[in-house]
Parts: sequence; C-alpha cells; structure tokens
Amino acid sequence: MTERPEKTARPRGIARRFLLVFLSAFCLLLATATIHYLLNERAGRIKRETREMLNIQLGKAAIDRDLQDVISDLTFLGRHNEATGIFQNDSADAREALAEQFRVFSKQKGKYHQIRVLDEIGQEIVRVNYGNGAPVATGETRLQNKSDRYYFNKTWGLDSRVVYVSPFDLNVEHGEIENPQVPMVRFGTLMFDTDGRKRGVLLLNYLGSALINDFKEATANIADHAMLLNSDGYWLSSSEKSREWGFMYGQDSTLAKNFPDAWRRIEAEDSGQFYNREGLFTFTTIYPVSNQQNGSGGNLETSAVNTSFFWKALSHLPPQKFSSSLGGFLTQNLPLYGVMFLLLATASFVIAQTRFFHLQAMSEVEVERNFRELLERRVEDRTQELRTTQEEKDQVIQHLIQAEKMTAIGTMASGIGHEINNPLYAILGLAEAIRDDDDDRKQAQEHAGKILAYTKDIAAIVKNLTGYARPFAGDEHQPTDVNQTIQKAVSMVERSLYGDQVKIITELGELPKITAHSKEIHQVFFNVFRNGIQSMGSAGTLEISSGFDGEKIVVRIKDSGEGIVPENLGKVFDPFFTTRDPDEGEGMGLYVVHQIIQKYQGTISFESTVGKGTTCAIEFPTNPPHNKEGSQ
Amino acid sequence: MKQKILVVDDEASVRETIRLQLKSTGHEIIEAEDGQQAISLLGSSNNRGISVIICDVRMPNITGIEAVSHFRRDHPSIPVIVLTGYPDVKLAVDFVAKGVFDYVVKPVEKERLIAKVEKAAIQSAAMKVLD
Repeated sequence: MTERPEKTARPRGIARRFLLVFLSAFCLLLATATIHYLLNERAGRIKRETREMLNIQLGKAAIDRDLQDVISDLTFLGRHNEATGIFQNDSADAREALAEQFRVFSKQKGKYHQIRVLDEIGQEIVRVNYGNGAPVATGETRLQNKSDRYYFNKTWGLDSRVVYVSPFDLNVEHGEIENPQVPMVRFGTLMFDTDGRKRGVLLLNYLGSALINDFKEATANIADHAMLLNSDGYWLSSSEKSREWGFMYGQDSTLAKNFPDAWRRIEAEDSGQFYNREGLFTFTTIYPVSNQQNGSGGNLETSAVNTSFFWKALSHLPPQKFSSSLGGFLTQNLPLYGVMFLLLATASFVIAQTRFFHLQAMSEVEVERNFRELLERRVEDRTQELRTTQEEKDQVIQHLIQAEKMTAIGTMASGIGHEINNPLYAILGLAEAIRDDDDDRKQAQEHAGKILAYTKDIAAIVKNLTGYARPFAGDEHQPTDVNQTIQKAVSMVERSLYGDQVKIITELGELPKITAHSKEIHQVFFNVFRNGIQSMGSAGTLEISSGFDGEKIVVRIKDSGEGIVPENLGKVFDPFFTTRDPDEGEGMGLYVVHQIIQKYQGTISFESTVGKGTTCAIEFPTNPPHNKEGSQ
Repeated sequence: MKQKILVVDDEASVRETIRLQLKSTGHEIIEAEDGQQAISLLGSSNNRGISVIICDVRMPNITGIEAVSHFRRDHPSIPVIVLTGYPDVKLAVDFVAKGVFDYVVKPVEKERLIAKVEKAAIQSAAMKVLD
C-alpha cells in the first residue's frame, strides 16, 4: 500500500519536469526557427528586390544605348549632309549620291526601316527602304508628299537642332497595321542649308524590334514579368504577347487600368520599387528625348525635357511568386528542425529525469537529515528527561538513605547508649571518688587520668555516630578502600549486638580502590550486615570475605540466619518490603543498598536456604564508566 | 553491717566504678565478668552469703535476662539490681516480670546506688529471716 504513491509519483514527476523543460526548449527552438525564417525572408527579399532593380536598370540601359545610337546616326547623317550642301546643290546626281549613302548606311546599320529627307513642303527628296536586308532607294516617281504626317509636322515645328522622337507604335502601310508587326519609332531632325535656313527634315524610321529585343535580352532573368510600357500604360513589350500594342488595336487593357494604385505611383516617380497587395513593382523611366540631349555631345542644342513623353521599364512580381515562401522554408528546413526537435525532446527527457532523480535524492537526503535531527532532538530530550528523572530519583534515594540511617541509629541506640553510658558511668564514679577522697591526691590524679581516657572513648564513639548520621555531602567521589569501609561497618554493627551471641568473622583479601562515595559504600555494607545479624536473632555467625578477580571486587556476606523463603527472594529490593517488626526498620534497607550498587554499576545477589542462612554477593567493577575520571 | 555484693559486668571499668562507689559502705565486692561466671560463683561454697547481685544487661555468652532467670530460679532470696546502659521499656518490663529488685540506668550517682544497694541488702536480710 505504501509503495503505490511512489510508483505513480515518479512518472508524474518526470512528465511534469519533461513538459517544463521541453516546452521551454521548444519555445526557444520556435524562436530560433522564426528568426531563421525572418532572416531568410529578408535575405530573399533583398535578393529579389536587388534582382528586380538590377534587371530593370539593365533593360533601361539597353534602351538608352539603342536610342543613343539612333540619335548619333541621325545627328551624323543630318549634319554631314548639311555640310555637303545638299539643298544648295540640289541635282539628280546629288540626290542619287545621297540615296547611295543612305542605302549603304541602312544596310550597314540594319535597323532603319526607312531613311528619308523631306523638303520644306513635306515632299520626300530621298528615301531608302530597308527591305529585307537589301536596302533600295525609291525611284523619283514613287516619292511621296508626307506634309500631312504628324512626324513631319512635329519635326518641322522644331526650331532648333533637337531631335524629335515619335511615339513607339506599329508601322502602318496603306492604312493597315503591317503584319508581322513592325514596331517603329520615328526620329526626326531639322536640316539647314549652309546659310542656316531651315530647309528640310531628316527622318529615321527606327525598327523598334531591335530595341525591344535588346530590352528583352537585358531583362532575360526576369523575362516572365519584365515589361516596357508607354506613358499611357500600354504594353510595348510583355511576356504576354497578346497584351502588346493594345492601343494599336483599340484595346483598353493597360497596366494603368489593371493596377491603378501602382500606376499612380509609377507614373509619378522616376524610378523606384514598392510592394502593395498586388505584389512587388520595380520600375524606372526612360525619356527618349532627354536621354539623347543629355547623352549627345555633338552640335545639338538642348531643349526642355519633355517629361510627358516617356516609357516605363517595369517588373511586376505578383505576391504568389514570393509571399508563400513559408511553405518553401519549411520544406527546405524540415529535416533540420525535425532532427533538432527530436534532440530537444530526448535532451529534455534526460534532463527531466536527471533533475527528478537529483531532486528526489536531495529530498531523501533532506528527509533523512530532518529525521536524524528529530531523532537527535528526541534523544537529547529523553536524555534530559532521564537525567532529570535520575536526579529526582537520586534525591529520593538520598532521602531514603537518610531515613534508613535514622532508623538504623534508632535500632543501634541501645547498643550505642550502652557503649557511651559505660565510660560515662566510669567517669561519674571516678569524679565522685576524687570529690569524696580529697585527702589522697595521688589517687585523685589517677582517677582524673582515667576520666580523660574515658572521655576520649566517648568522643570517638560520638564522632563515629555523627559521621554516620550526617547526610552525604555533594558528589565527592574519591578512591575508596572497600576493606576499610567493611571494617567500619562491622564496628558499627557490633555496637548494636547487645552482647548477643553473634560472631562476626572477617576474611579480607587485597583489593584495589574503587572511586566512590565512601559513605555510600559504608551504607551498603552496614545495611547488609545488619540485615544478616537481624536474621540470626540472638546467636549466629556472620562471615564476611572480600576478594578481587582481576575485574571486579567481590564481597560475600554469609549469615547463619533464618534464610529467605523463595517467594520473598524477588522482593527483597522492593521498597518498604520487610518481614520484621516496624520498629526494626521501614523495609528500605536493601532497596537503598540496591540503588547505591546500581549507581556504581555493581551487582548484588542473594542465595538462601530457609533455616540455614543466606549468602549475599556484592560486586563492584573497579573501573566503572561512571567513575572514569575519578579513578585516574 | 558488712554485706557481700556480686557485681556482674563484662566491662572492667563498670565493675571498678561500682567498687569505687560502694567503697564507703564497707561491703565486700565480688566481681564476675559475665553471667556464666556469676552462676559459678553463686554455686561455690566460698561465696555463700551474697546479699545483692548487681547485673549488667548486655554481656557476652549469656545475656543479662538469661543470667537473671538463673539467679531468680536458683537464688530467689538474693535481690537483683539490673544495671543497664540503655533505658528500654520493653526490656525493663521483661526484667520486672523475672522478679528483679530494681532497674537502674547507667550512669547512676554514688548515693543513689548505695541507697538502692542498702535497700536491697535489707530486703535480702529479711528474706533470709523468712527462710
């Protein structure tokens, strides 16, 4: 029954500690994973943003370079032919030479659909069509007047040598969008004669597919979401072919319409990158006009930047391309964190178990210590109690000893009286003789001497008696000669004999001294002797012997008295046990003897035969623990 | 009139003291150290005419009471004065029952002892006349 609580407490204790440790560790692991994830996310974001921005910039750079080339070509052709005085020296030959020059140039460059010079009324003077890589100068008869075209008017409307760049669109031939599509940008510049008069216009029809191809190549890394837009938000280039050139086909699908919020920002800012709920937008603005102005060193004069005319190079990464990276992260790191989880669980269990057993051991030690302390305290209390009890007991014994002594003195009184009264009587008689025979001085002196002697005898008897009657003072143990004590007791006992026919025979061996209170030892012997004598009535023999067996002193007192009946043998040490008349004692004699002997770790025993006598054996250890200090 | 007084006591000092106290009376003092000796003395022809016995109580061999029993049985006409060192009522009653003449506690003054002895001597003489 008592084991059951321990059996259930153990796993419960371990489980509780395991949960505690494991949950803490798990939280730590979770935090680590979260930080790992966030760092991963951040790194991914930075990488993503950088990649987007870099590719868009690359796309813009490619377009800028192409535009630069076109403007260089335009500038070169325009300025070169102004210098040769094409308008002053206009002739068929001159026109043919110009056509030849354009043809060679067209073939060489391979990116101009048409190279033309128009005069002040919009009439084509020279025109070279690129064809399919074999440029051909158009015959004079087939040259057309283009005064109604916006590109002529726009260019003619310029007032300096700046470059006109047309909107990027698809070439239209005879009212039809050319198929396959021919993306086109027209570049125009004024031509002046040597007198500085405005005489005509040089137009380059730039094949935009090259520009778009360069853009696509530059942004090949993000091809699926890189795009080029015009200033209305129409796609000029996109991964979705169908979206391109929507304005040419009357479509109204634009980025501006699809993502109006994003577009507002893209339109307003020159370049940038931002996230919104539709994803990541990275963009930059390409200004075809300003670009050439900034980039050309030439003779071109600068003009205000036409900020309303621009293209946007842009990438749009929808959220689903990056936002759901938690799954990816987990998939990627699951083995790592799985292993760590298992390690944590194992470690937690080991720690919990170790800690539990440690605590259990500690608590056992604690319990043991408490128990030991309690035990020690109890032992101490008990010792104190026993000491107190012993002290009380000792006091009672001392009282009893004293009472017993007084009783003994009472019983001895007749003997003592006899002993004292005899010399007293002698003194009396002698004194009377001195008084009455005053004529015999010598006789008187003799009497006086005897008186002195008897007086001393009385004094000795009285001293002996008072010494015995006095209570034992203090606890002064001293080396005690047992034989001497026996002899004193014998002499005391003899005084109470009344002259009965009791013979006391002593046979004392050589004994070491014991450390004791000599009066207590004396009391022992006196009481035992007296008991023996009383048991013998008026006649008998009391034999007293002493000896040492190497360890203890043995004293035997053999009387020839009436003996003790067996049923009383066990009671002799009981207090107030007596078989005699009340005036012979209270029955405390042997009780007191027993107490004293026990105090000195001695023993007392009786052997008795009724009608023959009793032998009492008393043993005292010579070196009892109680008396160690005193025996040194 | 000179009398024969038997003093029975184991203590020589006591015997001597009695002798001293009775010196002035001129009585003859006969000493015995114990009861046995006293009985012997009483039986011998030399000691016929002993008037008074003064006897101690506590003595070796035969106790005082035994000795007194002998004296009263064999010599009922001789008064016995018991001289004791310790006054014991019980013992005194025992002695009176045995027919002792007087019971005296030591120490006793000379005059008082002489008076008791003289009184006993008179009774002794009277007893002899009656015999």
